[in-house]
Order: sequence, then C-alpha cells, then structure tokens
Amino acid sequence: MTEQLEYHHGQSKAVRELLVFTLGQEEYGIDILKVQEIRGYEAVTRIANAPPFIKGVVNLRGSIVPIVDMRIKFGLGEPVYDAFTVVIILNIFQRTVGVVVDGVSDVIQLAEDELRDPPEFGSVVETTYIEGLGTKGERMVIIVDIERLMSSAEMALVDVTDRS
Amino acid sequence: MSIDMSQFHQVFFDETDEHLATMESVLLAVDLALPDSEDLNAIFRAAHSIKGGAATFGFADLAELTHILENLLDKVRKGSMMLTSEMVDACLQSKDVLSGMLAAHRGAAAVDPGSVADVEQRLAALVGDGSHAAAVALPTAIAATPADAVSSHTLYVELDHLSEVDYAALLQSLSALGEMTVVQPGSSEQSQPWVLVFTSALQADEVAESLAFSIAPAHFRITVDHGQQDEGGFGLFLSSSLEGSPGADAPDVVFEDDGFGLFAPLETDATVAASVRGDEGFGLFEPLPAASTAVEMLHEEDGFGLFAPIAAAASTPAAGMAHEEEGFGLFAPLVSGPAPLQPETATAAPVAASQPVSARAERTAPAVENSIRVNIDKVDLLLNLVGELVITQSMLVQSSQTLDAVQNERLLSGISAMQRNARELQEAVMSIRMTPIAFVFNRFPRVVRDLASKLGKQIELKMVGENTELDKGFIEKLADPLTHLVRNSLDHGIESPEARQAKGKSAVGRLTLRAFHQGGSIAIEVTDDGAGLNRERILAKARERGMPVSDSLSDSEVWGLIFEAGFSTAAEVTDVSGRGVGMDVVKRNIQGMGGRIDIDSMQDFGTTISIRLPLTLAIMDGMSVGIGADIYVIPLSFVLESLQPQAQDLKTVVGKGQLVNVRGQYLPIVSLASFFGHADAARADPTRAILVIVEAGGQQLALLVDELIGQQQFVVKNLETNYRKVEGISGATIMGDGRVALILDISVIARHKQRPPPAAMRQVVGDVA
Repeated sequence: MTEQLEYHHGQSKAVRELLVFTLGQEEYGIDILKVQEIRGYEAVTRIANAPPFIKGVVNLRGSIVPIVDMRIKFGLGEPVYDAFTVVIILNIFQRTVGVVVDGVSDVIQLAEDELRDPPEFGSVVETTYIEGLGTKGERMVIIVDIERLMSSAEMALVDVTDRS
Repeated sequence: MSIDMSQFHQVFFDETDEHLATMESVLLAVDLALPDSEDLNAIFRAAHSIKGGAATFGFADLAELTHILENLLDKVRKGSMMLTSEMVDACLQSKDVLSGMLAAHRGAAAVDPGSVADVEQRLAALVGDGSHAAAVALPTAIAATPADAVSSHTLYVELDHLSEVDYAALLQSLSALGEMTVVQPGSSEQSQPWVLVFTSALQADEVAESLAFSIAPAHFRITVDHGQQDEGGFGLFLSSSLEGSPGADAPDVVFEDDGFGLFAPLETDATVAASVRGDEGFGLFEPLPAASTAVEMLHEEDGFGLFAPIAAAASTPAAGMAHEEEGFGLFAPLVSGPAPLQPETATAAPVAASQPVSARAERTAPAVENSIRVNIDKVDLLLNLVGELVITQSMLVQSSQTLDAVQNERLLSGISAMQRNARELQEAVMSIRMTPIAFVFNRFPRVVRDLASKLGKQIELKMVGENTELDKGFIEKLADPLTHLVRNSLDHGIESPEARQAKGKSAVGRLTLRAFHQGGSIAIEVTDDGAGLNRERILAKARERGMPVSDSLSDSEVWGLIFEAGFSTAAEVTDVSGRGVGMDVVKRNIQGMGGRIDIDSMQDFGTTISIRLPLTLAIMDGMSVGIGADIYVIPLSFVLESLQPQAQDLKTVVGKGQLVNVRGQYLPIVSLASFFGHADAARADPTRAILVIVEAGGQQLALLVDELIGQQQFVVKNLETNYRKVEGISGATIMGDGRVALILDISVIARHKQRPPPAAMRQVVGDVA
C-alpha cells in the first residue's frame, strides 16, 4: 500500500490514507487501515447500564460487536437513524467496534506537509484524540486518533482492568 | 538446500509431550514385583522416541538425558536388571526434568542445570549397578562376569556362513572362552551353516554377546542343551536343527505342539517376555517350510527385513537392537530357548530400532484413534460459521412459514432437509471440541503418588469415567481447580495411616475421581474416605473471622463457608496446602465456566466435592424471555419453573421489597426491567407478568419478565471479545432473526437482587470520571 503511494506521488513515506466521514458540518478522518468495512445501520440490542453513546450490540456475521454513536459522543447533530445512516466497522486492538456517523464522504491521501498540529482550545475542547488537522485546498479534515479515542476510559468499551 | 527444522519443532514438542505422558502413566502403573514386559517396552519406546526426535532436531540436552535413561530402561526391559522403586523414582524425576527442558525449548525459563546433573547422576548410578554394562566391552571381559558362573553350560551354536566373516578368528576367540567342537563346517555353496558345540561357564546370552561382535545376530542361533532335564521334545528339535538342513519341517511341528513346554525350564526373567512375544512369531512361523528361509521371510513380514541386510553388512550393535525388537519372538521358537539368545547391547542405535518400535506400537495399540492436530482457532472459526448457518437456516424457516405449502412444496422440503443437515453439522462440529476428561485425570496418579509419599500417607487412587467427553475449553481450565481439590483431600481429608487404623478404617485411604454425564451437564466428583469436614472447626473459624454464623446453620451452609476467601480449616499450613489458591478461587474458576460446586461431607466417613459443568461452553439450553422490546435468555439450568402469580400470593416488605408465595415459600421478586434500568419496560403489576423461578447459589428468586418466548439451544457468544463485561450478563447469543439477545448471569443477579437505580447511575459517572 505504502509503496504504491510512494510510486504515485514520489513523496516520503509519511503519505497517509484517511477515510473521511462527516458529523454534522465537520469532516473527520481516520486511518483507513483501521477500517474493516462500512455498513448501514441496523437495529441494535441495548446493553444495560451503558453510557448513552453506546447504542448496543449487533450481530456481525457471528460476532457480537458494540456500536458507538459518534454523534452522541461528540454532541453533534441530532442522531437520526435511517437508510442513509452509516456504520463504520473498525478493527482496533484486535477488537471490532462499530461507529455510527452521518456519512462517509471519501478517501484522501495526505502528505506530511498537508498536516497541521492540533489546535489549542484550552479546556473548552478536548483535543487529546485529535492528532492534527489535514488541509486539502479549502477542506479541513480533523484527524482522529481512533485507537486512543476508543480505548479511553470514558468510552467504557473495555474494562479498566483490561487496558492495564 | 538446507531444511528449516524449526518448522517441525512444534510436532516434535507435541509428540514428546505425549511420550512423556505415556512414560509417566506407565511408570506409575507398573507393578514392581512383576512388571509387564509390554509396559517396560512402552516406557523404553517412549524414551527412545524422544531421544531419536531430540537428536534429529538438535536438542542435544534432551537427547543426552534420554540416552542415559534409555540405557537404564533397556536393561530393565531385557531383564538384566530388576525394576526397583528407586528406578521408578529416578525415571519420574528425569521425566520432570525432560518436561522442563522441553518447556525451555518452547520458550519457558531454562531448566536448573543442577537438577539435570542430579538426575543424570542418579540414572548413571543405577545403570552402573548392572554388571552387564561392561560386558559388551570386550569378549574376553565376559569371562570375568560373575553372573551364574557356577555351572558350565553346553550350547549348540549355529552360524550362517557369510563370506565377509573370518570364521577362523571367530572360532579361535570362542575356543578361548570354553571348550568348542565344530560339528559341521559351514559352506556358502549350499548355504550350509556352521554348527558348533560349545561348553563353558558362559550363559547363552553372553556367548551371543561376544558373537555379535563378529557376526550379525540375525546370522547365528544358539541353543541351550539342558541335558537330563530335557523332555525329549527338545532333543528331537535339536537334532533336526543340527542337521542344519533347510526344509526340515520337524522343528516347526515340534514347536507347534509343545514348544512352550521347552521354555518352561528357563527361569530367567526374560522368559516371560519371550513367551509373550513368542506367541506372535508362532503363527507366522509355523506354515513356513524352510528354517532358514523362514527367518528371512519373517524378517520381511515384520519389517525386520529392512534391518537384516544392514546388520549383515555392518555387524554393528544396531543390528542387535533391531534383532532384539522383533526378532525375539521369531527366533526363539525356531532354534533355541528364548532368553539366553539375547545379544546384550548397551549402546542402542536409534535409527535402526525405530522402525520395529513403531511397527510394534501400531500392532499393540490399534485402538488409538486416527487423529490430526488442529489449531483450536480453526475449530472455533468452524463453530462460528456453523452457528451462522444455523441462524440463517432458522431465518429461512421463519420466512418460509408464510408461504403456501402446496405451491412451494419443493422449496419447503429443501428447507426442512437443510434444517436437518445444519443441525447434524452443528453437532458434528461441536463434537470436534469434545475431549475425554482423561486429559485432566491423567495427571493425578502422579500428583497423588508424590503427595502421598510426601505426606506419609497411603492412598489408593481410583478414576472412573475418564472417557467422559467435555469441551476442550473446560479441560484446560479444570486442571487447576481439580488439582487443588485433590491436594485438599489428600492433605486435609485423608488421615494418616495410624489415625485411620485407630478409627477402624483401612490404612490405605481411598480417593476417587469420577466423571459422568448427568442430564445436560457433566459431573465431576472428588471423593475421599477421610475424616470429613469438621463442622465445629469451620464454625469456630468463621466466628474468629467475624462472620455472622449460628449453630443452627444447615450442614450444606456450613460447608459453603469454606468457599469464602482466605478460609482454611487446616490446623497447620503444610507445604502442600496454603499455596495461595484457596477454595474461593476454585469456586470462582468453576463458576467462571458456568458450572457449580457442591460439598457433601460426613464426619469420619469422607467428603465428596462435586463439580457440575455444562456440556460445552459454546452451546446452551436457554429460555428466552421478553422484557419490553428486548429479549433476554435465561440459562435453562437455573430455571426451576415459571408461573403467573395470583394477587393473594404477592406480599411486600416495608412497602418495597416484593415477595411471592410459591407453595408456602416466600421468594423475593426481581424485576429484570428495573435491574437493567429499562424504565420503559418496567411493568408494575406482577399479576399481569410472568415470574420465572430460578435457583442460584443455593437460593431461589423470582424473576419478573413480560413474556416467555420459548426454549431452544443458543450458540453462546462472548460479549467481552469486542466489548466489556456487563454486570448481570454472561454473554450474548444470536436469535433466529439475526438479532442479538443477551444471556443473563443468574448468579450475579441473585447476589445483587434488586439494584437501586443510583447504582446504575454511579457506574456511568464512575466511568466518565
């Protein structure tokens, strides 16, 4: 994959491929190598005592996969579940997790010089999971360190004892 | 091109594990007074195979130790050394060291070189005791061997005439050992063998040893002349043998009739072995007309033919080994009394011997099933796929129910055929995971033996139902809890021999491990006939620890106390118990497998600890219940009954806690809806809902649900694979329509009963903080 990119762009190894999805008006990018597949939204089974952004679990070809609604997590937009709602199935730390987003726009390649440091907002915005900002012309894509986000304690996706 | 041996290492490791296990189990079972020759051979073969493998794969340390071990075993096997308990101990010790080495090669910590040297010394010392060790060194040295040098023996020696052998030198060296007469010189033209009469103080096997240096054992035969003790039959045989004419049927016939009688006078240990083996060679041997051709042909039949030419060419001790393995039974009836014929070879040649070894293994153990090793992940994947198939199939069944049965006859019959096939496929795949419990039980003879000698107790271990199959996943997890229970029984349960006799019991304590199917589960019992649990001591200990107990507790409640953390009834801590694993851990492990554990004990009569496990981790019988829009599954093993309560049976305590009267018993009602915080599903009026009575941890409670959906088998999925542990949920399953249903963890729910809503809130807050 990387070799191909180098061939096309003749640039350094730092070229990254990102899947871009939208939450409300914002565009977010995650490392495409973490993405297993993209599916539509289907009915979930609720899990007792889970935080609101964990919608529940679904059956993904025999494995039980938790579904996280990023829109609820980030408090962006009113979550609507319809035929166009997209679930990105991610593979992180040998686990499979589904993420509900508004939509998937495209896949971009980002060179190192197109990458900006994450902005500082003080305590207003939690930026720990923002790896940086990608710029492609007029577009700005917020690059999320999805692994760090998903394994954080507040996501309640994994047991605290598991992570140690 | 060099071959990367490391790719075969895993196979070697696995095989060696098996060999070591065989060795251990046979060693433990062997009867010291009268060891079965097949047992001795089995131990030897195991050591031998390990040595061969280790040398091939370049594990020099393993090969070195097994070589010494093998030398010892070889002597025992041939009867030149008696098996002693000391040897068994040394062999077991070396088995342990070998296991350690093997583990080290697999990446575990290296074995303490001291223990290796120690066991090597111990083995070497045992081998050194045998006077025969030196006997092979030089033919002349044989004269000095003290064994049975009292009387002189007359032997008839028959040598095949081989072009490469210097017979003059051979005869000369023989005549140096005793009185020798050539009855008939050999010649190659008529393939006429040399026939000699040899009288000396040497035993036939010693003569064979010295001969083996010049001529391959396959090419000479030694017959003992028993003189007056002989019963005629021998003479007949002997004379025909002396004629040396191939084609003489006489010896065969004689042997067929009463050949075994001939062996009787020979009192050596090996006679037993010989007669056992003789059986095999006998049938083969009889129809073959010519004595010498018979030998050749028999060689081929038993794979020995492979070695004979090598032996002839090389005249190495290796040939002696091969000869020893298979030739024994064949030659014995043919020419001579069996035992003394044995050429003694201290250095075993692995390659040459390995072939007959495996041949024999196949023959003696045809019952061993044909098996392949499969990575458990592949089986799990298969299981998953089949589970999916079953779900898809039930989806099809569901949607086909709306179809017109007449119009869609073919489709419907296809679906029902598929339903049947899918179920069978599921069962078949499930059975792949099933393993006999012998895999766990097999370690206990050793554990019990070691522990009994350490504790100075006499224990008789009995194992029943080792072939009961259960899920492979359990096998691994059962080992630790069971070992703990067995240790516990030995240490605390069974009294010392004196104490037992004082109580009028047999000095030998009895420990029984039993496994059997019971309904939809597997029961495993550890029973001892020891002192039993001491009610007073347990209660006193509980009070000491500040637990609220009263004398009115029932026995089973008292026994249950020993599952509390840190609870030990041992008067003193021995090095056997008190290793940090308590009964609480045992119980937790068993519960973690979805099983339960019970104790039954009677003073001075014994204790039975029984473990009950579901048949498999992967499939479960369950009852699906509806709570609001959600479906939950209750494992059927917890369910006692379900009922719709009448208003007069419902009572409350302080206005909140609800109870239901079930035939005079008041059971607490737990609303699953409020337990899981489904505000929308909470149905206030139990008379319009269903109560499912469940029993967990010895107590009963009534679960309030909205509706019963049905009973069926569920494929259990782990929720923690991709998510976290959820309190009150033991796993998930997939329903016929593809949706996920959660499986209730009844024991957790029973422990927590009604959870106050703030607790649920606290958990969320706690996670965020």
